[in-house]
Amino acid sequence: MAVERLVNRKRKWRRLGYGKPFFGLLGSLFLIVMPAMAAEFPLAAKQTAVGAVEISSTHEPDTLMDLGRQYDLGFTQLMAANRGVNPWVPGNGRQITVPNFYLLPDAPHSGIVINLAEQRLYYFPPGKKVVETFPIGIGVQGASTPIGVTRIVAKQANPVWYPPVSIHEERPDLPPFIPAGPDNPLGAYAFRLGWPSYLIHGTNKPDGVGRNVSHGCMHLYPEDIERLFREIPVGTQVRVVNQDVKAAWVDDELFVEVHPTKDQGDELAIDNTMTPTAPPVDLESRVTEAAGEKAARIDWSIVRQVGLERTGIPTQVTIRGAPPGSVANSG
Amino acid sequence: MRNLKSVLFLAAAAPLALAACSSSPATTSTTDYSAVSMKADQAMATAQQALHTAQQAELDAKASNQQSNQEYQRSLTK
Repeated sequence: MAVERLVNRKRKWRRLGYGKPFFGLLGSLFLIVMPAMAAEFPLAAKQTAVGAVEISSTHEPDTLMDLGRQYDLGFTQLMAANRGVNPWVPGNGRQITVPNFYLLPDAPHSGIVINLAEQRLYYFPPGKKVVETFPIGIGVQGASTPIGVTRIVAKQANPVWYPPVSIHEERPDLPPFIPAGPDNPLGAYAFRLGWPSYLIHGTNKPDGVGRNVSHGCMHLYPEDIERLFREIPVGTQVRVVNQDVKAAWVDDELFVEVHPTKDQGDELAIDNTMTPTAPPVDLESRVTEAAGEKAARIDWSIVRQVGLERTGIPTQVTIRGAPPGSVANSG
Repeated sequence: MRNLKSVLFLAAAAPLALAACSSSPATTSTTDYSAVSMKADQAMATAQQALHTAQQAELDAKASNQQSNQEYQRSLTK
């Protein structure tokens, strides 16, 4: 049933023209066989979503982390869409959902927008009608990144890491500094922010991308930070938000995307599955607000299901073609 | 008269028929079921033991997997 929904959604995206610009059998084969170019998507004015859900097949001895790297997805994102799959031994020829479909965060489309709840960074290059998006690793429980707006104040290639006092207290074995190189957790590039203790940087442990593993810094796959380092100038605005619910109209249908909680993210990392929890408290108000005058078209049973499942995949919650007022709000 | 003959015939034949149906086959059947039942009980006990062993192995594997995942997650922490 879930696969059927995904296929339907994929068909919808092809129909809308947001998916791959290929048609018929050739397009289908390409979609299944070739890795997605997840980093950059064309972005028209007022566009609210990019990408498409795809289905991929595993090949031994690849792990789910390998697949995540290939498709530019974070660990939690991939596990939330493929619960119960052993990330180390997903098997051979297993169908894996590649959730490469994103509603854009509710924030101005400029500079860098980081949504902690989905462990993802969006970059809107000035003057270009595109959006680039990359998975990130974020802070462990209790070591959250601040929410708000700051700027990139410096760029550093081959940065030296000076562990702050708080980290030294946890790990007295650490040296006073770690020079650039394979042991440096900052990787090959770092952006310094207006918030002195927090960086956007690369990593020497790419499997940490899409997990809660830092002390509040945000880290990207080495190839992603390298690309951003080339593109992003000092002074670029960085807006950090924490939106576990996103809702947006796409071609006259309302889509809702709900992400796992931080606890569930950790559970996915440890148990490879996650315990259902209550939908976000503000789910209905967020959806109602996004729906505006067309709220009567919402199927609230789907909204609740999306809130419970927290797959992180945008799901259509309006009934297609239903005239306003024909669907009761059981809300 | 004809009805009376039929009734008498039935009265005489019925006990014989009942005895034929219930005596010797029942004795044989009880003996067979007992043997089969014993074998089934043994098979059930063996299966339950195997199930218990498998469940324990699954729990052990799950715990081991969780521990490995936890350690790996910790190793990724900066």
